[in-house]
Amino acid sequence: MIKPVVRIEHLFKRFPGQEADALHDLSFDLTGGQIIGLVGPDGAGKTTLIRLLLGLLLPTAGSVSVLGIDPENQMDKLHYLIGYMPQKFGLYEDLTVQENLNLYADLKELTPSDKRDQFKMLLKFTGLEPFTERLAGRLSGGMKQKLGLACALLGDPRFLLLDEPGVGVDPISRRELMFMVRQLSRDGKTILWSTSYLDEAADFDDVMLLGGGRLLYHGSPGELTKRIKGNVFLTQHTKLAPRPLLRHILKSRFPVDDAVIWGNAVRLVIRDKDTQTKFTRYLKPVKPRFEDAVITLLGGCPQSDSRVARNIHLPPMEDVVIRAENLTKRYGSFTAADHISFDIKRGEIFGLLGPNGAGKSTSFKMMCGLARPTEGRALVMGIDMREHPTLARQNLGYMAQKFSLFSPLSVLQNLTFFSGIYGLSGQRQKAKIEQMIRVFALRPYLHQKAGDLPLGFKQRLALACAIMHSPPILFLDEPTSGVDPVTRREFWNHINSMVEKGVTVMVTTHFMDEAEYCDRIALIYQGKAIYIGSPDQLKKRGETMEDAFVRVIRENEKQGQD
Amino acid sequence: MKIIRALVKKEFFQIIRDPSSILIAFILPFVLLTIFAVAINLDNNQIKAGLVVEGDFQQINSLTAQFEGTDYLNITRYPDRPSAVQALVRGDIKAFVVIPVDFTKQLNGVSPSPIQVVTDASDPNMALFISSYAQGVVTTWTQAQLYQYGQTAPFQIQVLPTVWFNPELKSKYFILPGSIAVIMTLIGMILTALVIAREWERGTMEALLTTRAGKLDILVSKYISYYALAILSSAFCSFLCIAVYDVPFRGSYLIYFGVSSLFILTALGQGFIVSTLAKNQFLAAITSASFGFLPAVMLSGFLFEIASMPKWVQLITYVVPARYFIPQINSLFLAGNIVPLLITQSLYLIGFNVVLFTFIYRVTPERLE
Amino acid sequence: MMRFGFLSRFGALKALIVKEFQIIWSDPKNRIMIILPPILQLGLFAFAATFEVDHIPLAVYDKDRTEISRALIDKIAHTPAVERVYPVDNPADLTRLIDTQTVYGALTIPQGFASRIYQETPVSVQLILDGRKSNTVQIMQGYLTQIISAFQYEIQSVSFPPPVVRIVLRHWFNPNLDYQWFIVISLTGVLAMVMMLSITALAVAQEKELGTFDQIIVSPLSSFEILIGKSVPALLIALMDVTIMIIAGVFMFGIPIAGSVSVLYACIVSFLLSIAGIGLFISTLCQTQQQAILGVFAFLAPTFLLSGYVTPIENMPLFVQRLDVINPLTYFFVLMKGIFLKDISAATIWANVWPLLIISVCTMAFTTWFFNKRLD
Repeated sequence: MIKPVVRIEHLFKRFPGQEADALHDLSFDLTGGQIIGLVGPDGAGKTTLIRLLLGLLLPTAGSVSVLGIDPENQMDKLHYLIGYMPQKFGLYEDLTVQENLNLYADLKELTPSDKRDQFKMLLKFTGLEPFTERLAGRLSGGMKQKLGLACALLGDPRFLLLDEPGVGVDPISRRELMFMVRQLSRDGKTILWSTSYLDEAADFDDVMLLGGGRLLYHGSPGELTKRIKGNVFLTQHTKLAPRPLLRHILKSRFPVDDAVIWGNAVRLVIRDKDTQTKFTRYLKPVKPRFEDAVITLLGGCPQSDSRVARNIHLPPMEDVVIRAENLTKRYGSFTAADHISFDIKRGEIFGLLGPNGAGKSTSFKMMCGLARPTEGRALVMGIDMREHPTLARQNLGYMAQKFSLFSPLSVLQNLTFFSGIYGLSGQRQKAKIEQMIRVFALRPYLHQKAGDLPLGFKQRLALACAIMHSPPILFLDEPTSGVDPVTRREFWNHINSMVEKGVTVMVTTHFMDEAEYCDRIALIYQGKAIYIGSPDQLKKRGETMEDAFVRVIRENEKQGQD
Repeated sequence: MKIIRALVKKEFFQIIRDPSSILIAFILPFVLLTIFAVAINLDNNQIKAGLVVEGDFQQINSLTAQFEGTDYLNITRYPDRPSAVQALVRGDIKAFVVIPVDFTKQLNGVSPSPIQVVTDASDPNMALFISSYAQGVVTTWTQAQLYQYGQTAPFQIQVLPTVWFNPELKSKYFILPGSIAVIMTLIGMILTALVIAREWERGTMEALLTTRAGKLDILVSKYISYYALAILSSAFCSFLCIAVYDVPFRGSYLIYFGVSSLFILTALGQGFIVSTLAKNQFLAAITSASFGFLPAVMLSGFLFEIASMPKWVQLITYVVPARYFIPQINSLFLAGNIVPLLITQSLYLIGFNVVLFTFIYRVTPERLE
Repeated sequence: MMRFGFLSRFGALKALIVKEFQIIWSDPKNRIMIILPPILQLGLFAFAATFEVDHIPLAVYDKDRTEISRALIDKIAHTPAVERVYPVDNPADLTRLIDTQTVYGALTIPQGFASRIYQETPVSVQLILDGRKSNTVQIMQGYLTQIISAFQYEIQSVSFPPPVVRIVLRHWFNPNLDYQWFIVISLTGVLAMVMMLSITALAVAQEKELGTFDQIIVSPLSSFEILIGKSVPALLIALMDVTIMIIAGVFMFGIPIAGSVSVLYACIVSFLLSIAGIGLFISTLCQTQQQAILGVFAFLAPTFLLSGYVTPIENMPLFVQRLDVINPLTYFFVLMKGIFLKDISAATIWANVWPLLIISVCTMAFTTWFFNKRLD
């Protein structure tokens, strides 16, 4: 019998002043030499658990043992055996790659010869060799993540803990990281990887699913996926377009466990056999994904219909509401965006996709008037963003990256402020705020500070603030970054219901499955739009959206070289 | 030791990469010291004052000449009282002297009508200075007149002042060393007021705590690095004082280095406390200014005499570290190594540092709770 | 399409201002920091910041040891300027007391002091002063000279005629030479400036760091309106602090207000607007709060030190005096002292108000221009 790497018995954790347990009666063993996924919605207790394992927090009750060591009393000993990468990678941005490595090597008391060997090995392993003299702050998200990993790997730890390493990192970099970690586990290391992205966890050896501080599932992801085998379908032969169809399904209390838009169809998890047979003509069975299983286990997708669009009545308008004409942005000799053109039609969801630093945010910023194009024009409802910014902006709803709310202000104060600066006042303002509180179920949090809200609620509030003035156009900048799948579904339900009323949406994302929600997408790479079209068309180029994405980029790179 | 060395190295890189820390450590003191050197001058001279002579008599020409000839007053003549009054209200002059029509009569012993000195006491310090100066001028003149008429005083007790350490009583000589203390309080605090909060904010503290580095290592290394920066900055200030602004230095450089170190550590310690307690920058700035900079200017004896403050204010000055450093630095510059003074004040500073460090150590958590 | 008329615009501006207040008010520590400084200034610094000299420790080396010398020492010991007299009987002790700053000066009465007085021959006493405290000891020297000459008249024979020229002293605007009047009035200006500057300078930089600034730029408000929205809350907070100071000044320290209160407030507002312009200017130049804080210090220190509060402007070199043309605090001190104590004429007020207005218009205009340029 191999000794477990982690043994936890009846672990409780409650933070002072809180009424509920952050972690409630956890007991489990983790076996060494594998990748263990720690998944669960935002606020489920993932970070708390990792910090307890590291001795950064102390348990309220129960026992923790990591590699046979009690982190509470023998923290010193534990430091030699573990590597840890915290959420923001724990790097010093004003130190170079090499200096960061030096620091952490010294803090782990490596001998000079060990240092030399490990630096060489890790730099090669992470592909950071050419960048040793670059400041960590100047690295891309993916490279920071690799450097964070390298720092955590110094001292050859037996147990590696990674807290949400995939947040804010594009799919290509995520893939590379996953590949590296897999190699490490083959060398006999144990890796605990916490994430709220379920597609990451699907390939892990072992998965722990946390929900509300409780352990909901512990075992191989395949095992869980198997439970819903034969219950996952794509719609076919339906008259309705996917968006109205999804709304119809959700509205009619159809007995589904999960329903999401999947390109031209709707992906459904239906466990009810009667329903399966009754609608068999419209359902095409497909292979279940881990995400389908997790959503089902977590109690299914949000079923209620979104009422957010109930009062939206948009006046008739031209067909093309947003137009980018040869948008170009140069910073000195660097071209961040290079002659990007596209049209977005009324009631369309248009996605801007691409790796970090490819020019996606720059294009987005020019479209909403946060940056002025060096060349070309950005038109919103026929108004040039540059010539009449104030006029054009009245038509915009804008949701910024990381849900930039006023964190010291309460939920109600945020709502009042955003409705106010868009010119709502008096009775109309009150009614609108009331509606938002109802639609987004914000009532219990009204007087809580926005900064203290769980991420999912921050996102809801940010969306509410962006749509208070019923704008015909919504600009969403990475609206679901770091948000768990259940909340994401809910978010898209709201968006869908507005789009059906004719609201036009432009969104940036680096979630591949989110591209499925878009009517059309533009892939931005090295400042150029290398693909514009429907997601289904793109999917034809690879097995999954992510594969297709990677392939298009690779092809483009090759073309550039030829 | 190895860990502290690694952390110090890290802090060092952070310092040299951050242009603002160089700005704070070298440019800011340069600017402040120059302002102190050029602008702060307590040796009153050329104060604007008015003179109204209501009559025109030969006899008083020597008196008006005495007024107009002084280095301290810049005299403007006004034809009559109302115009002088107007100038005073406008703020063009700080005081005026009226020599009345019948002034000569009193010299001859008939119905005395006094010389009037009217000051703008909205600045009382200035008013006091001018009035006593004007009195001095008149007294000197009177005595000279009496001497002329053979009416000398039967005897006189003369006061013979000797000024030690600063014979010419140049205010620059005590303001500049004192301003080093004020500047170092400010710089020490701004340099450190945000550094610990920053580690928590960026998640690097969490990463450090899972390595071999304990909180003692982290604190000590921060102390060492910022101390090194601040002592360089202080050396730079001292160099400016001595070489550029010609303040004499009469003590031992080694002792100066020692007491400066003690003082700088108190400033850094205050900054670290702000940093562990104040989580936002607005707060850190206001706290540093209210509890660091202003007390160092107002309550340290730098500009205002502690002995003349009310008793309860004097008690409060005991918690202002600059209060102990200013006598030390003034003595080292102007008087030399006054050992008993240096020792007692250093003991206070050491005590201060011990209290500050213990407090910081206590409030810095070892875990995340 | 939504109309964004005048009313909406006004509402939007109001929302911006209310939010700014809420942000400042939301943190209890911020609240303390808004209220504490005025109290600290009034309660502590107003008492500390005095150039008055009294309670000075003094050593006396009496080589004469006669009734007359003892009478002189007794007279000196009983004046408020001297706190305590340390008798010494050898030069070494005297040196030690001065060196360690136990005393700030030492008076040596020579042997034969009394006998020379009886003989009516001139006699001199020696006063050693500590040059490390040149300002204090200079004033002390003046006091001691006065005491000694008073002593001289006391012991003189009555037959000697009194000095013939009388001088009448009139201290206008502050007849009792009350130092706190001066200090409270000046500190009010300094405090208002510190509050105003730190709030406005951090206002934009803070939002840039939080990422909320984009949200506001994307809103239909124009850059100028955003700047107004940022200035008004700071203005109101600074006005509140100023009012606390003024009320305390009038009721605690008995300062009269010679001029009109409404004119006083109009001047305060013009001063604060000029500071708001400078604060916002610093704020738009900076990317982070730390830079903004540095900017604030870099502006505050010279403004404060060169304003005429610490030392008279007349004492400064000419080029510094010229620089003070753009120092808002200099104008403000003239206005404050003028309205509080002197009831200065409208012309004088205007002469000091228009430069403030020009400063605020210029900085605001430049800030707006710079603000728009940033988007490029």
